[in-house]
Amino acid sequence: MRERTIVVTHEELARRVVDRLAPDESAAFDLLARPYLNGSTGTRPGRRGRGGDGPLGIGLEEISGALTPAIVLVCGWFVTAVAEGAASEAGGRLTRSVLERLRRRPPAVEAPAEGFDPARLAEIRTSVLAKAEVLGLSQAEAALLADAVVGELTLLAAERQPPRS
Amino acid sequence: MSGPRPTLDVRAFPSDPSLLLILLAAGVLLSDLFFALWLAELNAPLDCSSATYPACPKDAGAMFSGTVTHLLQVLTPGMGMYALSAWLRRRRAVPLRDTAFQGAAETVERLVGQAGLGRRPTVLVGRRLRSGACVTGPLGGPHLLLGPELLALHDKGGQQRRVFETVVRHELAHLQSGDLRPQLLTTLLRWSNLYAGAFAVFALTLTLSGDDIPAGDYLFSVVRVVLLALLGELIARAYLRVREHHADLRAGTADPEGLLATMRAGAAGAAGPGLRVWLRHHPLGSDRLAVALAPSRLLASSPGRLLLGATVAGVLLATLQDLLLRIAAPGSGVSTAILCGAVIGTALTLFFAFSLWGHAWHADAPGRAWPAAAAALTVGLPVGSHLAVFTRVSGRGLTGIPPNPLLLAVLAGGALLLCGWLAALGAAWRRGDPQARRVPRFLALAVPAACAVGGWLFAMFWTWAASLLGLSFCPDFPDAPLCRLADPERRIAVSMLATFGSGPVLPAVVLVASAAIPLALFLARRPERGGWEDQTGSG
Repeated sequence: MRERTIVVTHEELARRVVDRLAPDESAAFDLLARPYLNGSTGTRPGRRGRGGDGPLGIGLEEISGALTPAIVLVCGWFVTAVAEGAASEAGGRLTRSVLERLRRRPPAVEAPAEGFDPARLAEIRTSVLAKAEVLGLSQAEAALLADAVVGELTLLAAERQPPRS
Repeated sequence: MSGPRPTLDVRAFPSDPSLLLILLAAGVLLSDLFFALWLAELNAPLDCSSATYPACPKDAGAMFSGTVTHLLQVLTPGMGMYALSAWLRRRRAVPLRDTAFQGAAETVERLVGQAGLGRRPTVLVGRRLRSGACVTGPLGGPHLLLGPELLALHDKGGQQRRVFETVVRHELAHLQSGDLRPQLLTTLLRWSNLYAGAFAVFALTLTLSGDDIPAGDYLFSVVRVVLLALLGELIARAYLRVREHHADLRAGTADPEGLLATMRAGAAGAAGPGLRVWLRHHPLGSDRLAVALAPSRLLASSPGRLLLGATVAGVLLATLQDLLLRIAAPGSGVSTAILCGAVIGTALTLFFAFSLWGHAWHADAPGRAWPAAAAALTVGLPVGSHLAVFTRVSGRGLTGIPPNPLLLAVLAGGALLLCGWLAALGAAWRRGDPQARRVPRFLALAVPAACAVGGWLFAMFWTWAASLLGLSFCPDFPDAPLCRLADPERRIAVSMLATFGSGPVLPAVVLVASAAIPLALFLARRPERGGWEDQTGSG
C-alpha cells in the first residue's frame, strides 16, 4: 500500500510563518525573502557577502530589523533537514535534493502525513529553537519562531491530509 | 552664567578626504605618466634631422601622441569598471514607489527634499542589498539604492525608524558632498594603478626571458611593483574610510541620537581590529561609534596615514627626478634636484602639518604624535624612494635614497625638528583659539611658514641624496670629476652645507621658524576685526 504524504515547500512554510509573526512584512515578502530562498541557508540575515554594499554604501551589516530573513533561513534549514532525513530512508530522494540545490530552487519535501506526531513536533521545536538562536535571535524571539513553525506544520498537515475512506 | 560649551567644528580644518585624494592622485598619476612616457619612448621612431645616428633623439610628435595614447590606455579600465559597477548595482533594482514600502517611499521623498540636492536621485530597491544602501550611477543622474531589509525597518517605528532615516541621510550626505565625482576618480586611479603594475610585471618578465637580468633582481623588482600597487590601494581605502566618517557626521547633524543608535547597532557584533582593517572600504562599527560620540577624533594624527604620505613622497621624489633628468638639459642635475626636493618637500610638509595641527585640537597635549610623525617621515621617505619601480623598468633609472649614515641622520634629525616645530605651532594657536574659530587665519600664517621651512629642508636633503646617487655610476664612469675625489661622500656633505648654509636663505628660514610660534601666540588671542564674533556680539 502506498504511504500517504504531504508536500511542504520552503517558500510556503516561510510565508505562512511570516504572516503569523510579522504581518507588516507580508506585503514585501517577495523582496525580503528572495535572497534567502535560493538555497543560501548558510548565511545570516543582513549579511551581504563579499564586498558588502561597496564604496558609497552604508557599510553596516548588523542593522537589519526584519524578521522575514531569519524565518526564511530557519524554514529552509528545517525543510532541507527533513528532506535529507527522508532521503536517508528512501535513497532516491537524496539525489533529488542535491539536484534541487544545484538548480537553486527552493526545496520541497514530502513528509509522511502521520509523521508530525507530538513527539516529532517537540523534536522539531527544539531544533528550530537552537537554529534561530544561532542566527542571532533572542531567546524570546527564537521561542516564538519555533512555536510558529510547529503550529504552521500542524495546520499544514491537517489541511493536506486526505480524508480516510 | 556661561552657556553650553561650543563644539569643535572639524570642517574648519583642511579636509582629510581631499588630502588623501590628492595623495592618491599624485602618486598614481605620476606613475601613470612615467609609464606612458616609457612605452612611448620604446615605440617612437628616431628623428635624425638634427643629429647623426646613434645620437638621434626620439621623434617628438610620436613621443607626444604615444604618451597621450598610453595614458588613455592606462586610465580607460577604471572608467569601464565604474560604469560596469554602477550597472551591476542597478540591475534588477525596482523603483521604490512600485513596491509595498509606500510609507518608506514617502519618508525618503521628504528626506531627499530636506537635503536640498541640485539633482534628485532616482530611488530604487536593490534586491540583493539586503540591509544595505548605496548611491551610484552616472554623475548627472544619481541613483539611491536601498535594501529591502533596511526598508522594513521603517514600519517598525520608534528607534528602528530613526536608524532607517539615519542610513538614508548618510547616503544623501554622500550626494550633498558630491562624492560621486571623486568616486569616479578613485575608481579610475585604482584600476590604472593595478593595470600599470600588472603591465610592469609583464615587461619585467619579458626582460627576464633575455639574459641581461638576474633572477634575484627580477624577483626584487616584482616585489616592488606589488608593494607599489598595494601602496596605492591602501591610500584609496584610507580615503574611502575617512569619507564615511564625514558622511556619518553630516547625517548626524539632523538627528544626533539617531546616528548614535545606528552606530551602536552597527558596532554590535562587528569584527575586531586587525590587519584587514587597513583594507576595509568602511571603518569598523566601533570606530564609527567613537567618532559619532566625539567628532574631534577625526582630527587625531594617524601615524599609518603619515607613513603612507611619506612613502608616496619618496616614490614621487625618485620618479619626478628621473622624469626631469630625461627632459632637462645635460648638466642640470643639481637644479632639478633642488626643484624636486622643494616641490615634493613642500607638499609633504603641508600633509604632515595639517595632520599635526588638527591633532593639536584633538588632544590637550601633543604627546607622542609628533615623534611618531617624525618616525613615519624618517622611515617612509627612504622606503618610498626605493619603491619607485617604473624608473628602473627602463633599465637606466635612478635608485632610491642611498643608505648613507650621515644623510639618514640628517633626515631623522630634520624630521624631529620639523614635526616638533609644526606641533608647537599648532599648540601655540590652540591656546588662544581652543574652539578653532579662526582656523583660516591660522592657516594664512602657518602655511607659508611651513612651506618655507619644509621646502628648504627637503631641497637640501634631496639634493644631497641625488648627489650621493651620482656615486653609484662611478664604476661605469671612473673618470667623472666626482669619482676621482679621495673622499667623495665627505666632499658632497661639505658642498651641501656650503650651498644651503650660506647666503640669505638659511637666516631667512631660521627667522621664519623662530618668529612663527610667538606670532601665533599673539595673533590667536587677538580678536578678528569685523569677524563673526564681533558682528554677533560676545554676550
